[in-house]
Amino acid sequence: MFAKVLSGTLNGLDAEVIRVEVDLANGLPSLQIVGLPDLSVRESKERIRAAISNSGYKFPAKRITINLAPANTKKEGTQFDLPIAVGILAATGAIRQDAMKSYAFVGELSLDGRIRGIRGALPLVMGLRNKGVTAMLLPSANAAEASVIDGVHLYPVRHLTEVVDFLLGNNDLANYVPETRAQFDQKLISEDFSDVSGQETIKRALQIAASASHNVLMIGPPGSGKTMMARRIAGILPDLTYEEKLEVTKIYSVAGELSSKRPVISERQFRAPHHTITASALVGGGHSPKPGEVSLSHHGVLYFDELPEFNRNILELLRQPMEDEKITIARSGGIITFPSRFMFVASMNPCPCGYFGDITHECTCSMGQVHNYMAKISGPLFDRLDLHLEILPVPYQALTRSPVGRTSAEMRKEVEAARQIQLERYIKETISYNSQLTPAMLRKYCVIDKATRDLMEHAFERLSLSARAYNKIIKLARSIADLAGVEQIQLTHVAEAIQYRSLDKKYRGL
Amino acid sequence: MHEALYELWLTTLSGLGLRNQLKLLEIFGSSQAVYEQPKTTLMESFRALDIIDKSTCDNLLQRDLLTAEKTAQACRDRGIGILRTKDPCYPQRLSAIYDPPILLYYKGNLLPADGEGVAVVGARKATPYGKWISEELGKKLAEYGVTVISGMAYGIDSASHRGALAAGGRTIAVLGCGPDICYPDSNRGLMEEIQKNGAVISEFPPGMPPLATNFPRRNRLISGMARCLIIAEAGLASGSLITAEYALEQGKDVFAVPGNINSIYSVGTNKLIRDGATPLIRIADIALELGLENRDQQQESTLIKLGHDEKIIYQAIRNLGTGSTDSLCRATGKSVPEVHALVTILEIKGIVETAQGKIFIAK
Repeated sequence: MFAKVLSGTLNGLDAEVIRVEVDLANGLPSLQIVGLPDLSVRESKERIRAAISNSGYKFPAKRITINLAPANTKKEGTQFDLPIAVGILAATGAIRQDAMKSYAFVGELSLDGRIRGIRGALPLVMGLRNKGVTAMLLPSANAAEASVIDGVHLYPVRHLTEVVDFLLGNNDLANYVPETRAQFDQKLISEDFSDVSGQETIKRALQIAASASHNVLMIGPPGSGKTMMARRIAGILPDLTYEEKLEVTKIYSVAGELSSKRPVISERQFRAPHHTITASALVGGGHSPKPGEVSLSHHGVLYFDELPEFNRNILELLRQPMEDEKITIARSGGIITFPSRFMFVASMNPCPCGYFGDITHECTCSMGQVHNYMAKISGPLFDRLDLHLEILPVPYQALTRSPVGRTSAEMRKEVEAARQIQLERYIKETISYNSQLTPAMLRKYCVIDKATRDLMEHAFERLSLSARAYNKIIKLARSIADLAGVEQIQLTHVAEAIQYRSLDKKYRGL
Repeated sequence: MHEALYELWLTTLSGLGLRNQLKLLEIFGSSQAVYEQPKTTLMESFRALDIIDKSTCDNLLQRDLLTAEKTAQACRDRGIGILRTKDPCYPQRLSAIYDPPILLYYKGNLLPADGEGVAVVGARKATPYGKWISEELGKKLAEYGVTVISGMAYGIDSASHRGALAAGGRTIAVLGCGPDICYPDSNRGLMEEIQKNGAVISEFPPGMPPLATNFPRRNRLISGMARCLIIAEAGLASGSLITAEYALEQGKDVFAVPGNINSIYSVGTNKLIRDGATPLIRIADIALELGLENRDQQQESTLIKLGHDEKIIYQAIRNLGTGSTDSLCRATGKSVPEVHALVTILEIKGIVETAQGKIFIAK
C-alpha cells in the first residue's frame, strides 16, 4: 500500500517541491522517516500518531516508511506533519488517492489533530506556485499572509478532520477570499515629521539623504531628537511597490515575525537593534539560517543608536551587506542568500557623557575620552557615511514658538520625484540611486562648471577638507539638484552639500 | 665628563625638593661645591634647612653620580639638550621667578629672542570658538615675530601652537613630563613640528611620566618664561587659572578673552576679567598692547566684498553671536538650502567658521 502527497520546504527564501511518499508494509509496527529530515521533521511521527488517533481515525499497525523526495536535500520545519498524516491515511485507504492529487499540503499538527501555523508560509506558497502548484491546503493561521499571492487556490484548514472530510467530498472548504489585499495597500506609519519642531536643518538633510538612500550619521547631545527624527525617515521614503512588499513580507515570514495582527508587511520598516546585538542577529544565522536585522530592514531603514557603543566587529559586518545589498550566510544547513538593501542611519553623542560642546551642560569627560569616542567610528565605516549632521538641542522658546514644520507627506512627494529622476537617469546602469555612483559614473553624470570647480578648490584649501570628501560632496550635490528638479549641478548645490560634511571640518578635532 | 653632571646629580636626588636644592645652592654657590662639601658641613646645613628625613640625607651623603650619568647618557641618546641657568639661551625671565629650575631639558632649538615670547593658554576642553581664538592669536603673534609659548595640551594649547606654526612663526611647548615623552600621545605630529620651529622644554628628566602633580609646576614655567599671559578660554576648573595665578605672583600682565556669560567654558576667563585681567576684545589688540606695529587694516573692508545675501547672513550671525542654521533661517526668513549655501561661501571667504553645528564670525 503506497501513497504520494505534495508538499514543500524552504531553502532561505526559495521553495522546493517535496513529494511525501508513504509505504505500508507487513512487519513489526514502526514509523521510519527517510530523506534527510532534521530533528523537527523526525519528531513529527509522535505528533502524527497522536493526531490521527485523537481525530478518530485508525493509525495502521504496520511497518510504515516515509520518504521525503528528493531524498538528497535536507528538510526542516514542521510543515510536513499534515502531508505525512494525509499520506498515511491515504495509504490505509481512508482517503482516495486521486482526490488529493491536485493539492499540496503544509501544516503542523497538534496532538489533538488541530492544525497550527508554520514559519515561512508566504515564500513557501509563492515558491510552490512558481513550480506549478495551483491549489494548497494550509493552516488557517497562515491564510491571511499567503493570500497576497495570485494564481493559487488556498484552502485554509483548522483540523485534520476538516482535511479528511474535504478530501472525501463530505464538506466543501471555501476557497479563501483574501481580505489581506486591502491591508497590503494600507499604510500604518503614524509618526510624522511635522511633530519635530525647530529642526528644519536636519529635516532638510534627512530629506536629501532619503532622496538617494545616502547613509547618515547624526551627532548631538541627548534629548536633541536624533532617534525621533530617525524613526520618521521611513515615512518620507516612497511607498513600496507590490513586488517590494512581497519581498519584505517573505523575509518576515521566514523570520517568523508575522502574526495574525500583522500578516503582511506593507510599509517600509524601521529597525533599531540595540548595541549589544550579536553577529548572527545582525546579518542572520542559526543552524538553518534565519534573516538578521540587515535583511529585516530590506527596503527600509536600519538605525544604530549610539554608534560607538557597538562592537567594532559588528560594525565591520555591515560592510558586505551595505556594498552588495545582499548577505550570504554559509552554515551546515546550506548556503543561503538574503537581500539587504537598506538605508543606514546612525546617531551618536559627541562624547561618552553626551554634553561635549553643549554650552549649558558641563561635559564630564576628559579630552582623551572625547577623542577615543570619536575615533571609534573612523576607518571603512566612516567612508560609507555620506552625511554627517551636528544636531543642536532646540531651545525651549523655539520649541513653543516655531510654526508647524514641514509634514512627511510634503517631504515624501519631493523625495518620490527625485527618485523618479534618478531611476530614469540610471536606467542603463546597474545602479538606481546617486548614493551608489562609482567614480567613473560620477564623471559622466555629475558634470560641474568652472565656477563650481573653483568653489570646490577654494573650499578644499580653506576648510581643509579631505580628499575622500570630494566625491561625497559631488554625490550629495547631485541629490540636491535632483530634489530641486534641476539637471545641471549648480554652485549653490555644491555649497549646500559642503555643510553636510561636518566631520571633515578642522575645528571638530584638535 | 658632562658639564652639567653635578646639577644632574643634585636635581635627580630622590627626596630633595626644588626649594631645598635652591637653598643648598645659595649656601654653597654651585652644585659641584655641594657635592664636594665635607660630610660635617653638609650635616650642619641639613639641620639649618630642616632636612631631617634620614633617607634623603643618606642619598646626599652617598655622592653617587650613577643616576646623573645615566640621565646624561639618556639625554645624549635621545637628542635632548640641557640648559643650565647661566647658559645664554636659558630663558632670562625665568631666572627672575621665585623658584627657577636649576636645569631645563629641551628638544629642538632655543634662541635668546624666545625670552620675549607670549604665552597663550586655556582649557583642554575648548569650544570651537576658543580654538579659533587661540589659533588666530598664535598666527597674529607669529606675524609680529613673537614666539608663542604654551603647554601642548589638547584644546587651546594645541590650537595656539598650530596657529604660530601655520603663520611660519616660532613656538615653545613647556611639558609636564620628560621632553622625550609626547603627552597627549595624539599630538605626536605637532610635537615634531614644534621641535623644528622652536623647542619643547621641561624641567623633568627624560622618562618622567606625565604625573598630575607635574602640571601645576609646569604652569609656573609657562607664565615665568613669557612676557605676558593670554588665557583664551577657561572654565571654572581649568588648570590655566593656576597659570594666571602664577603670572600675577610673577608680576606678569594677564589678558583674558571674554566669552558669553551663559557659557560654562568662559566662566573662568570672565572671572579673571572681573578680578582685574585685561579683556582682549579684538585679536589685533594684542599687538597694540605689546607695542607692536599695527598692520591690521583689512577690518573695515570685510563688508564691502560681500554680496547682498551674504551681507544679510553676515549681519544676522553678528546679531546672534553664535548662530545655528535654524536660528539663521528664523532670523533671515531664508530657507535651509539658501542659508547653507551662503554659509559655505562665507566660510570659504574666511568670514565665518562652523563647527559642531554652530556658526560664528571669524573676522
